[in-house]
Amino acid sequence: MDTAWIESLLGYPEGNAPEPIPGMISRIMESAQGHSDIQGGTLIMDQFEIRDKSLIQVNSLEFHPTKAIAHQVRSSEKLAFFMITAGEGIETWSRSELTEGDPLAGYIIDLLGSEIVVSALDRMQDELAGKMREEGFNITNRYSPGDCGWPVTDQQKLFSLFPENFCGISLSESSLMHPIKSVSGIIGIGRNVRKTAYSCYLCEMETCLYKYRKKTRSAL
Amino acid sequence: MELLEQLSHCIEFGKINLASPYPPDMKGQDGADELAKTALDQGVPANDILQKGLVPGMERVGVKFRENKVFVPQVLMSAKAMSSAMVHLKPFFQSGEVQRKGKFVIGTVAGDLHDIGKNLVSMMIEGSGWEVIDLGVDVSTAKLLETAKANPNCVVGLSALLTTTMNNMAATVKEIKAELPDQVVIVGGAPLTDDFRKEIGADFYSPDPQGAVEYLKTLVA
Repeated sequence: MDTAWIESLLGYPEGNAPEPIPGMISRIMESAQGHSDIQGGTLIMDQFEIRDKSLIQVNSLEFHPTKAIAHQVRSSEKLAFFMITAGEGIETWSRSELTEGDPLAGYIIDLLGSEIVVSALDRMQDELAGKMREEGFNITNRYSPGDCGWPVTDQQKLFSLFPENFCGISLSESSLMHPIKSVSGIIGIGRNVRKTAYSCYLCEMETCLYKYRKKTRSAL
Repeated sequence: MELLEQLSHCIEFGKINLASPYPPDMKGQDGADELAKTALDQGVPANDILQKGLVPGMERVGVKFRENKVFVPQVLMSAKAMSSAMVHLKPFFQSGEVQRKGKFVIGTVAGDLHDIGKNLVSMMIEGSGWEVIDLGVDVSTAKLLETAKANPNCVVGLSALLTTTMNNMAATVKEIKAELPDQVVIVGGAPLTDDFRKEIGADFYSPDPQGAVEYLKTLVA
């Protein structure tokens, strides 16, 4: 993650954002560490069932991650449920700038917060892949409620697998995570599963923000 | 350049005040803050400052944003320039000398917290002369209904970024229309389409903030 990458997320060709934007990004990135509190964890389960093409059952919990996701994890021998957050501080900082300070700074902090949690999750996933490789397993891509039409309400079931307030992350009645810069989801683990370079093709949502982003990133 | 045109220029290019370094070619010049005050000091009616200075500047930004000629940061800087000028007009809104075009109630639907798009729409609509009541993110239908009832003739705007929360939008529109059949509801968000808008019974959909501004203009024309 660098200034040029954040510039590209703002819409500018890398290195071509007008001042004061590059200077502002640099200052925000320098201060971001002091506002972040990255925490996360995984729970690996080997007792589950995938049936009816789109249903994953863990204990008495039934997840409905859609056919596309269930298909990707169907050969899994274990499932890793994960949660990770960039912490409350980055959200408070962004909100304060958006409402009382500089909205541009608030927007950049918000974007950076998303990048921090995604980067942290990349690292957590890489570490999981390394650990599983030692045991002879591969892993799948990660999938979260909200992806490819997976109902966000399934997050209530996912959260019930973890201790309350795990890593400081809580869930509202309408299935929103707090802090906002948090991600939860599943990763399949098995000898016959694989992680694909680009999985957005699974989803038919042409206007998805993340689909655009992945395409952009992969083109760089 | 005439004073109100200068003010429009500051809004369009996000020149907030004298101290603001952006845009670089306007460094050291007065911004929207100083120019709005100067205009009032010179006896320019507050309503003219709003309608002939601020609103056209914001409209030009909206059009450029729709055409991908500027990006979110420029819109945010223009909105900030607009806010700095609006501070001087506040007493005139309170006295009734400057009339808003109407009230616009906005929020992201229950279960959705993606508010950047909503905020952009809020800024553009406020910049077009409407009073915006921003209910924030993850807004319940009950809260929307309560606010709509408290502000008769307002327009309600709903935003959703996730395909999964589009269902909540559908339910919200249905409940609003059941209780307030004449309530105008407009919808927006990345995964939406005009077909979806028709399906859920909302009155208008726009893929960009300027479209919402133009639609609202038709309601008060």
